[in-house]
Amino acid sequence: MVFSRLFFIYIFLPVCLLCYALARGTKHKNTVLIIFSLIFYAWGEPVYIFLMLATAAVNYTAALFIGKYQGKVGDTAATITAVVYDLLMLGVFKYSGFILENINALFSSSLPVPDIRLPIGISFYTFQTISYIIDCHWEKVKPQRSFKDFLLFLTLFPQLIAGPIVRYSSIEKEINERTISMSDVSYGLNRVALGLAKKVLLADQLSLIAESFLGNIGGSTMLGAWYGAIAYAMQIYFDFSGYSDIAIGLGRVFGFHFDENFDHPFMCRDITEFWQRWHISLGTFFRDYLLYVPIFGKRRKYGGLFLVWLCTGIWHGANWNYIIWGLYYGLFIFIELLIGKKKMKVIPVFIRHIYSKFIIIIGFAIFYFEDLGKLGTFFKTAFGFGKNGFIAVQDKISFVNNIFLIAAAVICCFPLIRSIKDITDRRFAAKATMSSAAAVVSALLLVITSIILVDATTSPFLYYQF
Amino acid sequence: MKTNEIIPRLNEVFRDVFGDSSISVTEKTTADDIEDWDSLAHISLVAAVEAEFGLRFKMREVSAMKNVGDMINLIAERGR
Amino acid sequence: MSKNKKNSDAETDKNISAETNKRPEPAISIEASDRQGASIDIPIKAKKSKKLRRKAAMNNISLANILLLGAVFAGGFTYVTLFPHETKADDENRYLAAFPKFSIKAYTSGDFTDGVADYFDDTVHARADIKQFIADTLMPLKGMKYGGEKAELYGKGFEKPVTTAAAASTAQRTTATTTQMQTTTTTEPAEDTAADGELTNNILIVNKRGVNLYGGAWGTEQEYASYLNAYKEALPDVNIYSMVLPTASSFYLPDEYKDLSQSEKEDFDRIEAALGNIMSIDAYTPLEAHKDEPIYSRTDHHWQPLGAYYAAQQFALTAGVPFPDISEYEKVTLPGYVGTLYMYTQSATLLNNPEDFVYYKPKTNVSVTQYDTHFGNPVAADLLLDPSQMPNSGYYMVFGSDERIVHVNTECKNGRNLVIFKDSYGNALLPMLTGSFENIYLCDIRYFDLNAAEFIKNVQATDLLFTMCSFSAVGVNRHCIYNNLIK
Repeated sequence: MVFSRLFFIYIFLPVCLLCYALARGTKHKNTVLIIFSLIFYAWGEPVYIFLMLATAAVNYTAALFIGKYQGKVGDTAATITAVVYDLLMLGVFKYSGFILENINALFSSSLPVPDIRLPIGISFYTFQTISYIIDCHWEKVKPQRSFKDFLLFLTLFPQLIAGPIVRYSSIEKEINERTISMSDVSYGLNRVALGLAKKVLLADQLSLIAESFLGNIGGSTMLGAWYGAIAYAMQIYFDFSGYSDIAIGLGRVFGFHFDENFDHPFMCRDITEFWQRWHISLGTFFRDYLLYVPIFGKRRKYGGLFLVWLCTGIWHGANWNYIIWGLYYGLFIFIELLIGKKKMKVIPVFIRHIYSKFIIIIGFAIFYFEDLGKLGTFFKTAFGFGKNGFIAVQDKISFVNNIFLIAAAVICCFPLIRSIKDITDRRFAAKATMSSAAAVVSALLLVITSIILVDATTSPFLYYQF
Repeated sequence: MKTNEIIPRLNEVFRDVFGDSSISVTEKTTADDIEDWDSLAHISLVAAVEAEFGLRFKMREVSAMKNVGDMINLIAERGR
Repeated sequence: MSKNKKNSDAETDKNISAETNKRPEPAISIEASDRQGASIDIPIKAKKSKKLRRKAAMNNISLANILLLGAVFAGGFTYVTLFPHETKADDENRYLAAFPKFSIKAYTSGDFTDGVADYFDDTVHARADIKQFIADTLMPLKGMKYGGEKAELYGKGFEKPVTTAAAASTAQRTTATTTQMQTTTTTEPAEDTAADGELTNNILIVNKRGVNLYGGAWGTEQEYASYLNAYKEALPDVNIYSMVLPTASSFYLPDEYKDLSQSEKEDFDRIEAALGNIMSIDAYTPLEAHKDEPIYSRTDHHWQPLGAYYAAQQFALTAGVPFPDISEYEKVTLPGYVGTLYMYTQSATLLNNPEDFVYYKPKTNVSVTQYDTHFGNPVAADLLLDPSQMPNSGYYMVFGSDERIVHVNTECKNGRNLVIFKDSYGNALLPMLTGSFENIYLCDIRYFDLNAAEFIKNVQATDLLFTMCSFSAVGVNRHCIYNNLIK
């Protein structure tokens, strides 16, 4: 089930919140959460839910062994078993088709390529179990004795299918002991409304632009290609960060404090900084569990760097363009590393902003085109070697037709809410006004978002034909 | 090894790695205190510390170091 | 005065609630007096209570916030569950999702759970009004119309895999109900999408008219011609005609927007040059001559029956058959027509500027038989359906649907039997030819399950007309023409 549909917002969620509010005590509240999380997952994956439960059981058991044989052979064996199992499941369900296709292409063999549908959220929950197992092995956390509590950590529906990748260590204490204050709930609900609005009012609308200019790249002009890529960059940002907002907001309503996953990434001044602000939970995962892997000897800095970026690319999807995309970012971070922070700072901020946005927008174009041929067409078009010239009337019409949408999207890339808060927090009257306004704005956003969602089931192609 | 023996040597390593002679570390110094101390610089730092004190950190230790104090404890235990 | 009093009352209320809410206060003030000494206990206390008051006020705001959003959730819940569910969408010409039937198979495939969610999402009460509000009020907030012609451009924003999957599942539901609704709705959404990014479904709305932008043939017109040549080879004794029809793209784009589409005329010329012993009929010239008359729909991607009249006239001239004047027909005007282009763009411009749909009923007697796509199961039918049964977006349906073969026997006893292979543009031609041929067989190239050559011989056709709009002739539909020959 996705968050941005009426069924979730007005049936699943209210029923869940009501049951949660009625349940007395953390134990019962946890039971409610697990039941609703399992329903939530089974709604989209009536069969693969057993895969997820198996993964939960394997990792839960492995962690118990790790705890029992702390520091001995059994510890290591259990750690390796669990991590190998996790990676194997991810490999089979996400990458087997891609790997076999490439083997076939390379050796002109004809191994049967299995048609395996990707289980929802497997990339996210696998990383959560891996971080849990390694943290147990490193004695950063104690293995969870209760399977129910472990299941709650893993399946908590706000973050289950699209992150953020929540660390067990960050919510360990809150599983059995959490207080839910009034301000937590109101903050959480507002955050959910904000996230839904980002997804439906901005991302979904921007996707129409991106789709008509990138989806039909063969017909786009040079300016059209850039316009489409910029719209796509913002689309993905609002889509993904909106989703994280909803997850963090719902978590807060339930009394959990998840770490932030986005920090206004387009405000970055270089690529290194971009990745400190974009999908933070993935970046810190790779930092903690992969970057320092001691297999590169003296070259471990650069070895670790490119390994991380290779894996970042692969993680995003089983296709070459994602691998290129990951290494592309690795390359720029490598270059920035060679230049050094001190020398980077000498460059005027203005130029660093232009440079980083330029690299990021091209990065999103690489991310968009799974078809490498079309990616080639994009590059040709974007750098002036396309067949459709610099600008055409469709670019102008689309831009004028969407001018307020684009302006709103650009403005929302700035840390607007934080700036307002910084000012209003200084005086009580301003703070109270701000909080009241936030309530009204959130309600309004939620209503408008819901209205727009009524249109989501319109299916013009059924009717549209000659 | 004692903490007061370690700190001056460690300070040299920090100044070297970050190219900043104004750095002066204490047990409480964290990555937030030194602007350039990010995850990649951390690798260089760890390598330099290993060379200076003749020890090898484990991956879990590298990953878990939250401040200079953590580093000093490990050096005190195994460093030369 | 009274207002002030009210405020201070509220203030007192707050104070009281602050007092009662804050149990741990004594502990805090003890701590404070320990630190500060008893002598300045009173100002500290005032400060403290101000702090508490503020905290209580913030708490009240939070509570109000929760109640407000809670009310939205509760209201939304009531609205989507308890309010009557809609069953059909007139503007989309389809029945809305029905509550799915439970079966183990439906459950394990995920269709059941999806279906339940789709049901609630799709059947929201007053859906049409909400959609109109979106089109009228919300979507215009995205930007402005372009230029003096008030142009709006709609791209194909629905091609992403996720959406197509959703559309496909809706498609299955829709087919099940098409027969009742007499729509042309069919199950091949993917087939009309771009081939190699050249043919697009981009729509420009300009001067209150929707124009589907022609993307050019880029060589596929040669395939169309070669397919027809293959028919001539198989049927040397039949007169074969090709009449590819221009769309609004040729006639209604202001100069500034001409670059948005390719030239249909040039592609027609290439087709004519590539055709062998086949008579090419130029419908472009007569249509262009009459382009100021309502020959194309403004809100629909089809032409109007009047356009079909002029094209049929040209065809009759070439075929050497009689052709009754338009005054021989009964003219029927249906006002308030909003066609397919609104469906696709959801543009308020089209919605708020409906047009007349005008069609012509032959006064002569015809007998009409409808067959399925295997030319079986004959049913007696009317040439034109009764529009009073249709929503005003469905007027085009007076010609009936595409998934069938129609046989018309006329009063024109000239011994000429015509088979028409067409797309939906061809439907409007049928009434216009009822005074020209003795028997007419109307077949859709996309929904034909026989060997075309055998069929043509079986019905003893003397004439064979291929007529379809440019998009079908050079788009993916063209392959159907050839496939029908080798079935």
